[in-house]
Amino acid sequence: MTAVKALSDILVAYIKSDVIFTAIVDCCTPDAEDTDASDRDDAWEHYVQLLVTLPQRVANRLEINTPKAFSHENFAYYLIFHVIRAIDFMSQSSFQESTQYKIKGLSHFVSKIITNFYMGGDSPVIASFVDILSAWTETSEQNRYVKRKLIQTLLKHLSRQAIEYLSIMLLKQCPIHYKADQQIIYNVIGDNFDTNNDWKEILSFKIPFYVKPKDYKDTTIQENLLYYLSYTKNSEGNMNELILKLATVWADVRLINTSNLMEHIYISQLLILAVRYRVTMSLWSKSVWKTSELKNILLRGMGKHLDVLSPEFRCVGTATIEIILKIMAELETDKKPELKFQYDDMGDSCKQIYQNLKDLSHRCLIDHRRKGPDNYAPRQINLKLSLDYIASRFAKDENCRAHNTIVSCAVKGPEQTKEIVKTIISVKLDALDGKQENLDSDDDLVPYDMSNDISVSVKKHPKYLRDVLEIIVEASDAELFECSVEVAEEVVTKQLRDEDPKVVTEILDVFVHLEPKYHIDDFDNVKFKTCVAIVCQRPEVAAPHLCREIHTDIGRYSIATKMLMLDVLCEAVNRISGVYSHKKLIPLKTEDIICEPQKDLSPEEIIRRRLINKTRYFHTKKPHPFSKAKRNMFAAVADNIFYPLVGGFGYNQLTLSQHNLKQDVDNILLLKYLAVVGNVVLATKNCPKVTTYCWEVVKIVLYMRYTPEPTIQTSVMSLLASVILVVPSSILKVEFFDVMMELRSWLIDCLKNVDLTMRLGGPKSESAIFAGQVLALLEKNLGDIE
Amino acid sequence: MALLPPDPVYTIRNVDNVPVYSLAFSFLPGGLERLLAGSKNGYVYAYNLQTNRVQQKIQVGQAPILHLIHTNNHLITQEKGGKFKVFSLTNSGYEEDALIDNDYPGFCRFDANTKLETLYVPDKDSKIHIYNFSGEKVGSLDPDASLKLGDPMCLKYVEFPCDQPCLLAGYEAGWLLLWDLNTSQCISKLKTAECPMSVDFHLEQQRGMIGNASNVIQIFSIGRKDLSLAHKMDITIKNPGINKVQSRSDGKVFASGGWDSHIRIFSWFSLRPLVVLTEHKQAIQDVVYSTEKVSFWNAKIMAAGGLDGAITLWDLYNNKQ
Repeated sequence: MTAVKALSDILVAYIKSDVIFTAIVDCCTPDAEDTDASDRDDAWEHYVQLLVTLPQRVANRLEINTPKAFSHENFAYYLIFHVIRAIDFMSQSSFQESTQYKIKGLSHFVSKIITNFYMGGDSPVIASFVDILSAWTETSEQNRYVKRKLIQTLLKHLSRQAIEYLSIMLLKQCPIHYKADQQIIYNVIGDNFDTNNDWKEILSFKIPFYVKPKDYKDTTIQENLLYYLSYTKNSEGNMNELILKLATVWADVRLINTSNLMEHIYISQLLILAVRYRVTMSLWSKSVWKTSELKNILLRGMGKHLDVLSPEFRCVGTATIEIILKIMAELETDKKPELKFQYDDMGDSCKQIYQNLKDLSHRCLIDHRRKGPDNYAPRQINLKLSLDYIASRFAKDENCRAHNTIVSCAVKGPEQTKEIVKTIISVKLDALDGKQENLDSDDDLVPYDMSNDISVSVKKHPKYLRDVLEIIVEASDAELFECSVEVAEEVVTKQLRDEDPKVVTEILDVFVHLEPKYHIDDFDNVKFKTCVAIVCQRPEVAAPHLCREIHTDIGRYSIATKMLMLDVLCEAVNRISGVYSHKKLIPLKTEDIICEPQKDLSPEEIIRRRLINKTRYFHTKKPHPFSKAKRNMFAAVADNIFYPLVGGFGYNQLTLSQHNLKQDVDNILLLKYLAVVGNVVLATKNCPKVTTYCWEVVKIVLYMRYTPEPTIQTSVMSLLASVILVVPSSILKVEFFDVMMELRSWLIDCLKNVDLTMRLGGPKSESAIFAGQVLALLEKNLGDIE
Repeated sequence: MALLPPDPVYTIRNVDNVPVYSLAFSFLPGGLERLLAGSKNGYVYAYNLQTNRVQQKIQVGQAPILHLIHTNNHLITQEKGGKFKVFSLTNSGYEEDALIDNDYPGFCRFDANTKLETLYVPDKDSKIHIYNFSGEKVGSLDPDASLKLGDPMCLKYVEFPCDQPCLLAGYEAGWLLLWDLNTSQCISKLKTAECPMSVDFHLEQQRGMIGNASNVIQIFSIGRKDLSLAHKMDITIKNPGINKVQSRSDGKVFASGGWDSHIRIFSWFSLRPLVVLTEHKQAIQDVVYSTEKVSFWNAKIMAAGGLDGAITLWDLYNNKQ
């Protein structure tokens, strides 16, 4: 580290020595014949690159220990100091000794300085450099013409980016003398507009259209720019082109760009001033200026301006057109009535804008009637002061400290000191007393992983399905029984998939008939959930078994058990087919990559991690269209559920029908059964075999439709409704047409006595109303013309 | 990621896997470092901490040894059923000096003032008797009869600065009383959440903790000036039931051993749990810290014993340079 620091000190000494100055002069001296010019240029470019990036390089190594000389500003001052000396030296030697120089090398150097230390136009270094350049072209010294030429050549060879930065600063900073005939700006830039394409493009396009002014009242840029353009070779042509372009942009009012009032005023100012210059030029040269196209554009633009809501914007439009037409009237011989808008009613800001634009029209620097602002004094550039300042910055030792600290000490006697120490200690003790509990910041004891701290009951949980089964069957220990029942659902979901079918039926039987031998909270719910989980995991085994149980002889199981079985089947069907709406997936929070200071990491890795941590990502995660789609899990097992459920009905209908009357007085089992069948049918939607299933169901409907019980009738209707909902209407219209027509007439029959039943109320009227609804559904699905 | 829970530096299987009820370190002159384990069968097994092998079997009685205290030249044991025995260390071994038999049926561990050679022995009817090492009763602490305290559950002898010896006593009804031993008067009391099982107090921290049958360890403080008891906060743990709480003498950490077979270590500073040790298979009966460095481990170690007949030795949170 010390070595690096020493190196940096050597570098400072190097920068402050005359080496750079001599290098510049040497580089600009024309070659001797034997050296290869391109080699030299390459070497120079490499050297310049190293030089201007030196602060960053040093800072990268030394970080917070970087010497102040390598601060951005200081370093720029050092480099500029050398450049200024080189320019001065070369102009002097060329004036005195008529030495020839090649300025390209210096230009390259200056370009690099400007692009590296421009700081968005805020750099005081570049500003004073620009001041010095402009002041040099106006000195009273004898060599001023040489200097002018040298500066112009220097500017000519700048890189495009440097031109862009520098030209704006030049236009902004060159003072305007309204009384003088020549303005400084032309002396500085010279004929670069005609000889260098970069300059031309930047001055005629970039600056008019891409500069974003901060304050419209400062019009130095506009005035300097148009003055300079009026001095170019093909000035009239250039001016015409610019005016047309400006007018097009000015007239192109859309709602989007109305918010940029400042920019619009800037364009308007340029337009007015350009027209003013152009008119003055044609008055001088007595040439004709064809203005018809311009007028067309302007008048079209005026109409658009008047539509804008913002009063300021409208005012800019009217003022511009009024002033321009007034200026152009000078070219015409016959007097026409002037266009005049009223600005009195508009706000103060509008009046100011109008006044500003109006004043600007008199500031044509080539017009003898020109009028500067009131109380105008051109900005004076003090060349000597600027040069002195740069030199003083160069000479200053950055590391010397200002010795202005006052060291004071109060002398206390031993008694006083004791008192003071006592007070301090007691205050601290008091503070500790009260706060000790809250101070938990620097506990140096590192905690271990606590995941092994599990509650005792969790420890006892059986982990395997067969253990669960055994514990529940044995039911010897209350605590074990309780936790086994509680974990059963989870274990089933995890482990049942690979179990033997026998185990599946066994565990299903156990849970369906499980009795709460010990008290368990919410027992019925837990039991139900576990049964559903079993059926969901192995529907191909569990569902037929369950259906067989449902259809067993009367008296074997209670109605409540059978109801539970039906409920389980129904819930499982719903779950497998995914009837429930998908829960919104909570996006997992990606864990921040923790950047721990690990010593063995490579610097690239550290940078990469920092970049990842500091980067903000602007994009929305869009799920793939299929990401919400789910495989139709039900289709695969539909046969296993549907046929045992419906098929058992045919052979073992005893269990449900009138033979069961003694048990099932209110038909609740039948109703439940029909509801479950309906549910299963609904779940088969999108299954390939849906029509086959529906035929079976239609058979039930046909068989049961004449039941006298209105509640059963309603169930049958809902079964029909589910068929209508599930079968695609195209198939319904073709394959099911006859049956559906028959059922339609049945529904209409049901509706016939609707008036009568309505008066009676009760289940009958409900079934009639429902019949109407199903009928409407049927008609809709049958009648739809694709 | 946090560090994985540590392993014990050594696990001693008690002779015949007899459940361990109490533990005590003994540092005898001449560098003999031993760990005494009071067991269910009435034996005290002395393990040599150099070899971790049993070195001596002392038959004390028939009942489980509930508590052990080893001073420089005495061993005091407490058997379940209220037999307290004082052994003096002689050249030929431990010789029984005195027997105190008060038929106390509870689990409350006695405590002792080793300097004055006094024992504080719990008895029925909320009484605590004071004996000297010769077995002579020198006093007793009788609480106000109107307070229905129940039997003593835990004792802790505390010597405050300025020569003020005190005894903390927890009672069945949940009361924690601070007795001034100079005057035999109760000077402060605190109602705690539940029947306390074990109490400990650290003088420098000015704080103590109570383990009870619930899943909460209660932290209390004793005021510096007026020695008033005050409840500070509760630390909730996962499983209920604490058999023993013990503070380390440097006041950095304290440990608890519970019915759930877990040993927990907490930071005195932040009162956060630092680690949960799950080495034991059954309830922990006793957790003790060595008062001096054990030369084999070159550290003050912690020993824990439980009903599973294992004694684990731990070397945790000792800053090793």
